[in-house]
Amino acid sequence: MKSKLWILFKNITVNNYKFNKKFSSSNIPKTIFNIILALLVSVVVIAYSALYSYLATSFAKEYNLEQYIPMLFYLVTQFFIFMFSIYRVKSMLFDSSDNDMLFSMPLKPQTILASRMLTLLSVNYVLTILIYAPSLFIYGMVSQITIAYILGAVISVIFLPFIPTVLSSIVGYIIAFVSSKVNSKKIIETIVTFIMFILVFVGVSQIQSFGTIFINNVETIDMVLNNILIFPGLLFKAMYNSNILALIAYIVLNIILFFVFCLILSKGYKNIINRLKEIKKVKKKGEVKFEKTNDITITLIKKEFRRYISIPVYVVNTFFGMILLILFAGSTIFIDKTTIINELFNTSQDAQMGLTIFPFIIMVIAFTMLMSNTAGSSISLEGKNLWILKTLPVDIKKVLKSKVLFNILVILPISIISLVIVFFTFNLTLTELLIGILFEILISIFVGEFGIIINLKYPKINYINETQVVKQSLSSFLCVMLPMVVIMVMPIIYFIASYTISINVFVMIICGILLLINALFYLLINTWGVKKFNKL
Amino acid sequence: MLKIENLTKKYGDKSAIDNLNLEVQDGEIFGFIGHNGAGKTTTIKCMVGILEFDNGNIYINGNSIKDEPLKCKKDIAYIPDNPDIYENLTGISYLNFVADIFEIDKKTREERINKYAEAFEIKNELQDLISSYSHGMKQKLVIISALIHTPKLLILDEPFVGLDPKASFTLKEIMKEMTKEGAAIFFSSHVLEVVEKLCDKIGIIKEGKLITYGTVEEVKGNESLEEVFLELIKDEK
Repeated sequence: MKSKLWILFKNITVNNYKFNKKFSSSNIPKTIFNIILALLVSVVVIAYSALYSYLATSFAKEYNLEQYIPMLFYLVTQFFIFMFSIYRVKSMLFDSSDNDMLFSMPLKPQTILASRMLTLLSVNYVLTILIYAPSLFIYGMVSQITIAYILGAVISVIFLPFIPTVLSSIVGYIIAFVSSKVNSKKIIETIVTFIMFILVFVGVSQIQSFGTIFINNVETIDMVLNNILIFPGLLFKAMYNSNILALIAYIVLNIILFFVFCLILSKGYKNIINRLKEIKKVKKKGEVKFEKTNDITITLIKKEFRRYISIPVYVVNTFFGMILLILFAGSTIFIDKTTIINELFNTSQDAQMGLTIFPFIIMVIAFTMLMSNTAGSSISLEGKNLWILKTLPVDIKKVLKSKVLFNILVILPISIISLVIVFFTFNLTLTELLIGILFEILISIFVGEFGIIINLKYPKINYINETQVVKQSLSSFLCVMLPMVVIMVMPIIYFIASYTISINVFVMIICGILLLINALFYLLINTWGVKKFNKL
Repeated sequence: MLKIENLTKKYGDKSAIDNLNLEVQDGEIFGFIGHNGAGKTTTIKCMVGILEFDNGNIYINGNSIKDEPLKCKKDIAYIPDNPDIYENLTGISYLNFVADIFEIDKKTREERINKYAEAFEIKNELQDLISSYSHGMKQKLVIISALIHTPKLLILDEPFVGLDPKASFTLKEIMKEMTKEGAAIFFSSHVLEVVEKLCDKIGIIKEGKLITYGTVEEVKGNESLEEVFLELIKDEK
């Protein structure tokens, strides 16, 4: 008889990844594009990982420490898995639309939870293969390896995601538990998730110093592996000392931890899911507030705003850039500007400050604004409610315009405030401030219009939960990644151009290009965009 | 088959169901009616084990849903008001999934799926993705999935919404056939004519309280069910 856990896992996976979808000639180009894009991203990540592990292994070899490099990548990969899993936990474990169906079936809550944990785990194997596996291969190339190493390497790829998946699930569980206890669930969830992400962001920024500590404290590494990092410690013994007992202990402990976690957390699982669905009831009857009549565009923007704040993952994903920007601007008030300049440019020449900081500020602003694309998911998020907009007596141009305007409202005010703060803290010139504001206005329009166009081209209307749209859709990926590639190239172009033109002229040229692109996008949205929207 | 004792379910301080008691015997069809927000779906969700409740107990075939949920769930089938199912599975994959969960062998599931898919005229569409189905087709699929394991208690929440007249007729016939074989049926509906014709017993719920309960004749007397219902749910001001 088939295990119920397997039946559930198989069907959830088939449903999530649409394995049943038949290929038709119309979706072949899209499928090929998706495969090429996935392969391209994978190759880039694997190349980066291989390069870093090669450099690290070569460096460590000088100190006879190369055997620790796969362990270092093991821990780094676990950290990344933990980080990427936190936002997925809420949607995969608690917000699934199949909750009612599954809980009415003869299934134990721990089976339902375990099937979802396995689904989460299966996604994390992608990161394991992209980040961790190259380091094992590189070590194998530069050192003499044994059968025990190969066996341990294969086993470690299988079990590496277990602990970070469990840890991120515990964090997700805590967020869900806290949110389920209060009335303002969405707000609490957004705040707690933001705090988690900021902590993780701080953690990522410390990875470089972690590597330095690692190299400088050779004598304590074994102690840490044996007493604190027990799981990688056991793996280490198995791989390098051919200790089969350690390998068995590593496997058994990982499996026990995973299933014990499922068993413990399944106790309050159903209650948390149901409490999260409860909506705050109006206490007094007859307290109906009627709003004054608004302009259609304002009404549509208000609708966008209400939906925006009701989807925590949407806010976290598209507002994180703004949080970083305001933190950066705020930090310039309290931290000595010379220190920031020295950190950034590795120079102590105060005289260069005024000349070098403006391009950097422009880069930070562009980077954080491009991270904040709300429009790129806004059409997909209409989902099953798309019919409402389509049947309203409203010009579709206005609908699309409201989504662009909302994106501008989310990013432009904070960007301008941040620029004004750094204008004072870094003593920028008035010309730089004005050019900066013009740049921000143009880039905010670009972000909104680009998001709408990409989302119209690659909509994801039939989604299982909002996280799929906001974090995992092609549209949201392209909306952030394509402009980011351009931004990465900009410093190189500026570096070449800086011999002939000043930064102000360079930014003005960029503004001119943006103006042209924005005008073209505007025309595109009002013609192709409207037609495409009507066809959805 | 079904016994609800002093059922109370609260959301915060507000009681969604307040001390509800009722019984449905083997071979009976029970109609559960009430206006929107009266507590019908909450009661049903407590019965099928989706929601936990604060007080009382629910017994299905003598087993408590609180203490022995798996035993109870093996005896019941639930058809929700909204057929929210795996959109990216094909119809047949979904039916196989449910059959697997209820541990139905290949031969039996094949017989039952064929029988009900033909009755609901959906057999040719079973290989298609559920996302391509209309609301009514999804509803038909959920009904078939509920019948695969021949439940002893069939619980339906607004089952006729979205069904075409022929499918509605087929479902009513299947319900009658099931009760002849000893199964019990509990369903909520706003279609009072159907409730009046189909049910043996009726319960009317208002603001979480069962205000009337008994056989159809006992509840409606010489009036129509619609008149009785409208009179009972009238606000006392």
